[in-house]
Amino acid sequence: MEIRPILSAMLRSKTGPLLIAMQIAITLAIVVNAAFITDQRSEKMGRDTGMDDQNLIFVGTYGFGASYDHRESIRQDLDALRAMPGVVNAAYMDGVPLSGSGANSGYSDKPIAPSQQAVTNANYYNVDERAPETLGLKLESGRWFRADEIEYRPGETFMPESIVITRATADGLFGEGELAVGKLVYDAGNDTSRVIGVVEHMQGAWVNWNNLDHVLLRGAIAEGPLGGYVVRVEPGLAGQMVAEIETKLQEISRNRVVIEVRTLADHMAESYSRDSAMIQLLSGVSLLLVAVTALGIIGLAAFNVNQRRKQIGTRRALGATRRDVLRYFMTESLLIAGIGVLLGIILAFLMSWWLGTQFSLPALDWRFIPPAIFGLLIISQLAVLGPAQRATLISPSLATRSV
Amino acid sequence: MLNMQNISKVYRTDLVQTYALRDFSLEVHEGEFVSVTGPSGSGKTTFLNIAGMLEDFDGGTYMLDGENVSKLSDNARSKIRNQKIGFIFQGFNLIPDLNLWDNVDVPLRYRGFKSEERGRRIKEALEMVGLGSRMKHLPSQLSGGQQQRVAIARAIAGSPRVIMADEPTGNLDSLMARQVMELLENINEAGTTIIMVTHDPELARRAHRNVHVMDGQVSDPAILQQPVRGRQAAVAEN
Amino acid sequence: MFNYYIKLAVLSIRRNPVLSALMVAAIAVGIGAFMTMLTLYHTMSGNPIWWKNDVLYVVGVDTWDPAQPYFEDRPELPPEQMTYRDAKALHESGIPTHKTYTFRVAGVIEPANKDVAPFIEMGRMATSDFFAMFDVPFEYGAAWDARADQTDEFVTVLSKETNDKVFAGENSVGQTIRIDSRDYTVVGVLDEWNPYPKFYDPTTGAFRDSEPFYLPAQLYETLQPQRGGSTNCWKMVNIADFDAFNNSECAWLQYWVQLDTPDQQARYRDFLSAYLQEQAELGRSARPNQILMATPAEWMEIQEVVGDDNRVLVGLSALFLIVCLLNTVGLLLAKFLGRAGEISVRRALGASRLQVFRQQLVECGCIGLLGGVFGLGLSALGLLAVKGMYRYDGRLMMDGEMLMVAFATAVLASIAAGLWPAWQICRVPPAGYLKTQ
Repeated sequence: MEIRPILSAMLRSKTGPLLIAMQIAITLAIVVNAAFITDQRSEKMGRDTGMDDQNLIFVGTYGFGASYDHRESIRQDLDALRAMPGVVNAAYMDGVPLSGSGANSGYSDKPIAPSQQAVTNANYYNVDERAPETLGLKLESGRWFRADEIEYRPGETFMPESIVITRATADGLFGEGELAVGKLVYDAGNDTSRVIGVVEHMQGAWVNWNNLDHVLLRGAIAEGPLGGYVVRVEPGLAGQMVAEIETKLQEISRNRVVIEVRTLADHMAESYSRDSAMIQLLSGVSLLLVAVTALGIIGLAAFNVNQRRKQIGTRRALGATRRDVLRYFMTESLLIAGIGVLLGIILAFLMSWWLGTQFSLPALDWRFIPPAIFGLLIISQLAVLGPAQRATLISPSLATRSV
Repeated sequence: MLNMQNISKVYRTDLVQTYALRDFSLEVHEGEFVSVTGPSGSGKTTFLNIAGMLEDFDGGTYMLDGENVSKLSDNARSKIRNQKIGFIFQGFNLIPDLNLWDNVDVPLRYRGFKSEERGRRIKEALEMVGLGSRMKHLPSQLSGGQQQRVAIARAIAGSPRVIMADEPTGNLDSLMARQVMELLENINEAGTTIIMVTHDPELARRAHRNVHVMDGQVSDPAILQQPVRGRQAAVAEN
Repeated sequence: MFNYYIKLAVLSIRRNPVLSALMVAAIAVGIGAFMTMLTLYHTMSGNPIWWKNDVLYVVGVDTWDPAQPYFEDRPELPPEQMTYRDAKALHESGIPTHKTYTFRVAGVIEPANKDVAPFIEMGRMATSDFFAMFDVPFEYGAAWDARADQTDEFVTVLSKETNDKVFAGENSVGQTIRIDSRDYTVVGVLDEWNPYPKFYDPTTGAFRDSEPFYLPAQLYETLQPQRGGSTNCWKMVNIADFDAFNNSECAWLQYWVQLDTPDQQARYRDFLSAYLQEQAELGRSARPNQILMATPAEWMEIQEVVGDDNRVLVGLSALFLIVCLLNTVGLLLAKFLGRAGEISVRRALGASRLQVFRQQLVECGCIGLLGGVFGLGLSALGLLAVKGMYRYDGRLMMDGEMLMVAFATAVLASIAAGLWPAWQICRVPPAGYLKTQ
């Protein structure tokens, strides 16, 4: 429609429209980059853990005093846990995946010299025969541990007879997709263990580690004051069973303190807290930003309508319909938003480039831009609707009145 | 008191130049009450704006109170407006959210008077215009005539040398117009020079002297150098 | 005249309540978001021992794997922690004013009161200098004396929190407390002491509370405690073999020195080089030039205590504040232009341009101040939320400095936002709007 008169009106009072266009531009740039970062973080947080992660509870214990019998204590605890209603299974495991704390070591597919680097690194856990099933792991090939295979020895770094490794660890050791079952794995001291099974997928301790899915499960219980259990409960009970398990374990013995009982979900939430904080903060700022920009558009439009009351009245007197008046303001707002959006696209890429150089973030995916453009145009149209509606109510008789 | 020689004022747009004043000369003496008349667009408001130092002019010289004010900075002109000139407008131009006291206070604030001095002057001025009892009222609570009287109080509160009145009764009915006019005459009698633009011949006649402006010039140069003392004489002459 | 402007500003704000509220809200939201992020960043990047930053040094020597550096992205740095044998060897040096090796250990505390169940805590072993060099405040008693650093003495220093829990907050100096089945004599109770970030050991969480009890590091070989920090090894060793482990190349202790003069600092550096040289000659893997002597501030930097995320967020929230200000500029322009008539009258009555300009800026300042006040409230809420998100143990609040920054930002920003509109309005010709009113 009548774009030329709108443009010339805008050019005459540049400041207001320019301010709005700049706001829209910065808003677009921030929202697009924020959405991009948010998307990456949620993808990171949403990675498959390979475990029944919503229904797992991990327990840590610490024995003390002369009367403390480590092996017996573990047996007692596990029996008691399995007897609890709501518990599906319980097993010995001396660490917590995705908790940010754990142990990793270098492993190789053949003996290595002392100065040589190991073929791959893996995050290792000592587990008993029930642990894989309790964790909810899926076997790719080979078999799980048998009860009589689980060794009981002091220390945690000896190489046990049998280990189960994840597919990723197998790929790292033996090559992509290679058969692993039956093969020997060497530690840095060239002690060996035999692979009896391969797990499809399982995540280890450190969410920011490149080898997150390099996990090695050792069929062993490490002697010492520390005990650790993984408990799988009926779906939906994890939250409420934490306290019950803690009370239960405390009842059993006073020579053993319960260090902590926490759901895997809680460990994950803590490990990912910086990522989820980033997501929440970016979303929050983006929302506020859009709201502030919308308010700015409303403010400017309301001001414009007020300033042009007489002009609008005159137009109405000269035969403009209400629709025409409405369309005038909507078109004006669309033009301003359009300019802002164009500026914003440039700004978005500039910002992404800057973030990339400063913080080595990946380059912006252009696919995030069209929805943002569309969204901002819609919002700018909605924002101007109210003031424009009021403009349509201005009476044509205003033209003849001198205010 | 006020001496304009060959003042010209041009309004320029991209296409045309319009002379609002052309070789406009006028002298007003101390204590005079001069009315300025002329048809709409003749330049009488432009004259008043220039005389009141609200607007620049393009050529000529302007002496006010013995001082050449032709080429003064915006700041210096603000100061002169503040100290030597009182304004009365057709639309009163009171500030709507300030009460009477605060409205009269406006020029005194910019003058930098101390608080007691301001208080004394505001009270005096408002009492003089008969509104001493309504100092806390807002302009919107007053009639037009009362509002104009507040404007007059505001104009005289700083004891200016000259009062510039632009159609001071234009928005008032005849009764109120007469009251305002009487007020102006009293002020003039107390020694303040008054220059009043009006289109009302009746009012114009009540001044000592009438200056008629036409096409940006004083239409009858003969009037120029005829100071007339006293209102009676002026009336008689007409 | 300033008072007059303030009075006019208040009047003007009351005359346009909606417009004014919008402006205050825009600034408040902008300031709120910006100050939340900035305070988070400021707290995370704070130096809780700034007054000793030029004399305290965390020490590292590179006896790491010859095949690969400890930090892959910063190969010039030695490991962040130290091996036990290196720590013991370096501890022989008489150059530092103070020196300590320190690490975390687990300990079960059994309160004398049998109604309170035993509980496990991560305590800290250190030498007595730890308390002196870090200016650790004591409520009761003092650090153990240097004797306990030489021969086994079963003494302990408790945190205020532990003392509250076990001894109900009373002066427990001289009392005994049972930790891991041994009785210890309490020699000191700390006052509130939780430096954030936890500069002396950020390796187990830079925003975690300080340890609840402290034991002389001298007792390490006697107690053979369960270590609670992170341990990094490059050579195979049976961790279960206590002696083998202590002689291993596993790095797990923090080593700190206080060097008061440049001369001490230079001499200590030479000493470290010479030590590494000697070790290399003895056939150990050692890189004599790879020495870490980092001040607490440098140490926080190396440990990346402040994440990139926090910097990005500060930047984004600053942009957000700018958008809010652009918004305010627009609203102010609308507001001021709507007042051209009044300004015209004021100009006619003798106000100079400067006076009109000042009047507008004072009004902007008032709006900024209001925005700042509400913004502070919003950022207090924001910080509360952020604290939860980051699972931050300590206090996350604005300090005096941040409060000043907040108000200064609010007022300066709104005055900056007001400059253009005020400039526009003070150029309104005095005669311009008199006729139309």
